[in-house]
Amino acid sequence: MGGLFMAAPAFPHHTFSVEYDASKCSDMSGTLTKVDWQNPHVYFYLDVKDPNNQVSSWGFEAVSVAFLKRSGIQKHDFDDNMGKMVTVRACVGKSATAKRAAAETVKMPDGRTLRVGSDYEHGEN
Amino acid sequence: MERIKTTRLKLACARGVFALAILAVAGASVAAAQEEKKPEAGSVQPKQQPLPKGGPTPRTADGHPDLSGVWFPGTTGGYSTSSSAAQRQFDAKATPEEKPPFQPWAAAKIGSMSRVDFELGRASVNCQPRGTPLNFLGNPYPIKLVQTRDELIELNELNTNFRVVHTDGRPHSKDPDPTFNGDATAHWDGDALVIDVIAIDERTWNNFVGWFHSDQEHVIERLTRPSENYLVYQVTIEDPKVLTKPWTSVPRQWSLSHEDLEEYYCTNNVEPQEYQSIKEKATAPSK
Repeated sequence: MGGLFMAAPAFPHHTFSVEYDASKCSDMSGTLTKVDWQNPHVYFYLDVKDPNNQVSSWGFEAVSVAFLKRSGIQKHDFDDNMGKMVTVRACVGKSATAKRAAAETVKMPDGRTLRVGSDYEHGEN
Repeated sequence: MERIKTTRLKLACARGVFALAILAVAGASVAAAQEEKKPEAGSVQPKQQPLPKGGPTPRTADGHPDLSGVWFPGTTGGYSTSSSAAQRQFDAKATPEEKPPFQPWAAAKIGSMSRVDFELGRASVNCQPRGTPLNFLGNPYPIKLVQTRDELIELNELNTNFRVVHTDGRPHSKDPDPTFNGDATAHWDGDALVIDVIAIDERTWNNFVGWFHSDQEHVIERLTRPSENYLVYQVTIEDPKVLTKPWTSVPRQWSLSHEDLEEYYCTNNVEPQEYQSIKEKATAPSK
C-alpha cells in the first residue's frame, strides 16, 4: 500500500499547459536509469520499451528539489531504485525535444507511489 | 481515630497513585500517538487545513508587532495539499482583486504577447529573482523574516536570496541604481510596517502574464501580523507611465511554519530553450 505525497505549488514556476499537453497523459513503465537532482526541476530518465520492443530513453520533469523534499521525497528514493522497473504517470511535452514528459507520479518497486508533480491532467498546475 | 486517619491516608495515597497511573497511561498514549504521527521517511503528512489564528500578535520589546517567522503563502503554513487551493493567498470570490489599470499602450503591448511570450518573459522561467513585489504576490516558496530593532531581514528560499530593509524611516538612497528588490526603506504606521520601494529593475514583472513596469514605478508594501499564525501583505503599485491610476492588491495571507528554509540554486534550467522551441514550432511554416 503506497501513500501519495504532495508537491503542488500555487504560483507555478511556469504554466504547465504551454509546455505540456494535459490531454496526453498516460502510464509509462521502464527501467530507471538516471536522476538529475537540481533546480528548477528534478529530471529522471527511464528506458521505455515500445510495443515493437524498441527501447528508448524518456526524460521526465518533476517539481523542484525543495517541493519534493517537503513532500517526503529525497534523492535516495531514486538512487535506491536505479536499474529497477518503475511506472510513471506523465503528460507529453510540446517542445521539439522528443520523448519528454511532465511526471505526476512515480510508482516504485516497493509499491510506494511518489507524487512528483501536480495533478496536471485534472487542471492542477 | 488513628485507624480512620490511616485509612484516609491510604486512600489518599491510593488516589494519588491512581492519578499518577492515569497520567502515566495518558502520557504514554500521547507519546504513542506522537510516535504514530511521526512521519516515516517518505511519508510526510500533507498540510491541508488552514491554521487557527494561534493567539495574539507577538511583539518586540519596543511594542511593535514581531514579524519574525518562516512564512508560507496561503493559510496552511506549508505546502502540499491535494490541490493548490490552500496555498492561495486570498479567496478571489470573497475578495476579488481588481485588474491592473493599464494605459492603452501598455494594454496593447501585453495583448500582443502570446502565451509562450509570457513564459519567455517570466523571471521564474529564466531563473531570475521575482523582485519587488512579485516576491510576495506570486511566490510558492517560504520567506523567513527576521526582525531586529531597526531592520527587517527577508530570507527568500527561492533562489536563496535576501533583502534587508531598514525600518527606521530613513530616506531613500539618492538616485539609486535599479535592483531586483529595489531601493527600500520602511517605517511603522501603527501596527503595520510600511515599506516604500523605488528603483526596481525593469526586468521584473508584477504578475505572470506580462505586467511590466517603468523606471518610475513606486511600490508601497504593508506587512501586518494580526495573530500568531498569520502575516498579511498588501501592496500598492504606482506607475505613471504604465498605469492610469495606482493599483492596490487585496490583503494576501501568509501563514506560519517552523520549518527550516531549503537551499534553492537554479543550476539546471532548460526552460528558455524549451519554450523557444515551442515558439518556433508554432511559427514554422506548415509543410
